[in-house]
Amino acid sequence: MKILIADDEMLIRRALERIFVSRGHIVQSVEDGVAAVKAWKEFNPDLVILDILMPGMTGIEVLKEMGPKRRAKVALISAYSGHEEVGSYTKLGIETFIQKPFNDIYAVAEQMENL
Amino acid sequence: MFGTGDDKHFVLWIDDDPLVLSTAKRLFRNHNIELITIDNPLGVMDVLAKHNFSVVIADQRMPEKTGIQLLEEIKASFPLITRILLTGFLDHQTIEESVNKANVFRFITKPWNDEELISDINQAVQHHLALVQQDYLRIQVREQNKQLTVLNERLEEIVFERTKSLSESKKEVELRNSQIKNLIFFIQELNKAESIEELLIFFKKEYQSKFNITTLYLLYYSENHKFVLQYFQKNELIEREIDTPVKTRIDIQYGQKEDQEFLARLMGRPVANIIAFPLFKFESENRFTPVIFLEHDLSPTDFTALLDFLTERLQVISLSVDRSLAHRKLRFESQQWEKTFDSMENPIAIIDIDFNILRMNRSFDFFSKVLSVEEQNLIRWSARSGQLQKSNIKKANKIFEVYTYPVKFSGDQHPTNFVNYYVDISEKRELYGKMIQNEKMVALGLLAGNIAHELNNPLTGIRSVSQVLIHEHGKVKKLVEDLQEIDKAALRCQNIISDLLQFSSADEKAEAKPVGLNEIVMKTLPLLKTALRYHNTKTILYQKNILVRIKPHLLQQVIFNLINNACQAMKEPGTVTIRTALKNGTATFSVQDTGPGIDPTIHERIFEAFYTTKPEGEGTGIGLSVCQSIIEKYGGKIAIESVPGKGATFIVMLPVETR
Repeated sequence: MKILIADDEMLIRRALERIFVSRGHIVQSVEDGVAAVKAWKEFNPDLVILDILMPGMTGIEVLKEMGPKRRAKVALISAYSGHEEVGSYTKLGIETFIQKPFNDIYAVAEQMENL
Repeated sequence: MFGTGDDKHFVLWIDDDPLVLSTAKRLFRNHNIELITIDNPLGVMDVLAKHNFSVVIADQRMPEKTGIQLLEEIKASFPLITRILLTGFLDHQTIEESVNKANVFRFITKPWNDEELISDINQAVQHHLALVQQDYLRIQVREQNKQLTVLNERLEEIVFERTKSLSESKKEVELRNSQIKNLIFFIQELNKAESIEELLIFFKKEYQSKFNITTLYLLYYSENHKFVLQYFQKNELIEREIDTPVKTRIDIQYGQKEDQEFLARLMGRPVANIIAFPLFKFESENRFTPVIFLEHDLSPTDFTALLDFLTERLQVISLSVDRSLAHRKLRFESQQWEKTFDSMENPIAIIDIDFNILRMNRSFDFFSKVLSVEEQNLIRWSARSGQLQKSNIKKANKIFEVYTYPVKFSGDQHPTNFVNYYVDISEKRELYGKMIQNEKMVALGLLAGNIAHELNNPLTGIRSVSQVLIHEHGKVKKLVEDLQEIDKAALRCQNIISDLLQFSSADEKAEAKPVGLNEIVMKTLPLLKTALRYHNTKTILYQKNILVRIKPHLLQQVIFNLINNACQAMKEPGTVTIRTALKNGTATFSVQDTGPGIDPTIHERIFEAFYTTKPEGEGTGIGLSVCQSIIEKYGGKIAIESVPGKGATFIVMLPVETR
């Protein structure tokens, strides 16, 4: 499975990349929204792990760019800041929303793999 | 006049012998003596009446009567004529008789010697003249005596009259004295009277003993600006406030219909004759002259006496009434002041330079009457500077802002008295503290919201990488242990952020709904298994589920925090008692531990954000302040009961939802 990870937090990208690679997936990581759109077009991933708050473009904007006819599944992730309406994200046609912080990164990775 | 040499002196000689008579006649020719002779003693009185005789000579032996008899008779009628007896025999009996009976001046014996005879007769004339003079003098003296007597008599009369008027005026003086004494007594008694009431009662006693007066009324304008009528009703003194007084006046007025009607209207009965008796004003600035009305039924005489009685006392009564009114006003005003002073909730005291409390209001009563060092210092500074001094002073377990105002009486160089004014700022301080705390919470909430995301991201990264590394290097024990510590540390950071986030979430308009307190407690307890595993847990729930209006997850957080705190407070295994109860419309949830308790001095501080007694790393100092802000938001409060050494109880009180 081709997995695109878009998150500005390097340690999160690393952790997820290491897990997915160890499980035999092809992983590409980007650290901002613009790169994410570009990589989505060129890399054509099966799964996109998309952080909401990123420099350049937010995860939500990237999602709009991908459009409703996208092939890739999308897991939206975000660090809860106390202000978001979590419910509204599920209406964006994504496959899942996972809130940071993660207690167990393996559990999160497994959840994403199984979408 | 008599006795002058030119005058003729008449001498009468009576002898029955004509020869003797003629011889004698001859003898007194050309002599200043006119001798008249008669031979019969019977016609002697007629002859004597014709002339003013000086001497009479009578012969002893005469046929009709003796010379002594004749002379005796003459003596009786003409005592001033000098008498001579002519006799042939001069014996003792004749002498004795003639001297005793006829008071004879001389005896001439027959035959006589002419010269001796003339000498004797001349002597007799002189004797007569002396007698006449004597007699004149006697008469004069008698006359004068008479006058004197008259004068004397008149004098007595005058003296009597004088004494009479004197004794009368003495009576008058005594009467006047007694009147003055009465008046003085009256004045003294009036002066003793301390109130208008006493004054009137005494006045009544005075006039009642003298006059038939039905009632006395006193009308005056009182200190609290009302017209007051005081009068006796069956020996009782009534005081009435009235609306419209009669017009003010200056003169005593008698029988004014206006007064009669005025009193009759007030008394609701007919009123007899009235004498209105305006008093003078002296000290008081009263705008209305007090009037005494006397209702009487007196005869004109008694009435005049009454007028005198009153006029005499007018000034005294006026002075007393005026003084009493002035006193009343003074008392009233001082009472007003006292009331004002007392009604001030803030303690006030007037203090002298030696720190003696001279006066204080009621609120000050709760204080110790000995000034504290801080208070004394305020006074010292105020005395030195002559300026208001101000400081916050702890007194009677409260905090007061104390103002010390110096009071200077005119002429004084330095203040001698001080007014201390105490404003209780404990509550203000508490409120201020709470406000600060709220501000802190709001700031924290904002801060939390802003940084939570920024911190959660790298923390999630740290934990994730640690977990990956642990997974990949499970065989390297030392590395795994280090990574586990990193993961735990990052977790603690996450928890802090999650606690912090409660502030911002507590700000949200929570969708509170009625929830069962017991229910929430029971749902929360399983989450505390780890915390409670070393301690006994007693759960005493109210028999019925109590409804409270609150967001369930927030209540759960409060319960969780409090039980968790209780467990952490007990270093040794102990007992946690969890109770729910219902008291006076208040639902309570309490957590009691058997730990070391909480020092009373930090009861308030432990709710402050970031205040913690836990060892570094174990507590953030946010838990309790979050609990408090949650509970207060839903109209409740959290209290602490603690005896140091015997544990602590946290009591959450929430209003019961009644439906």
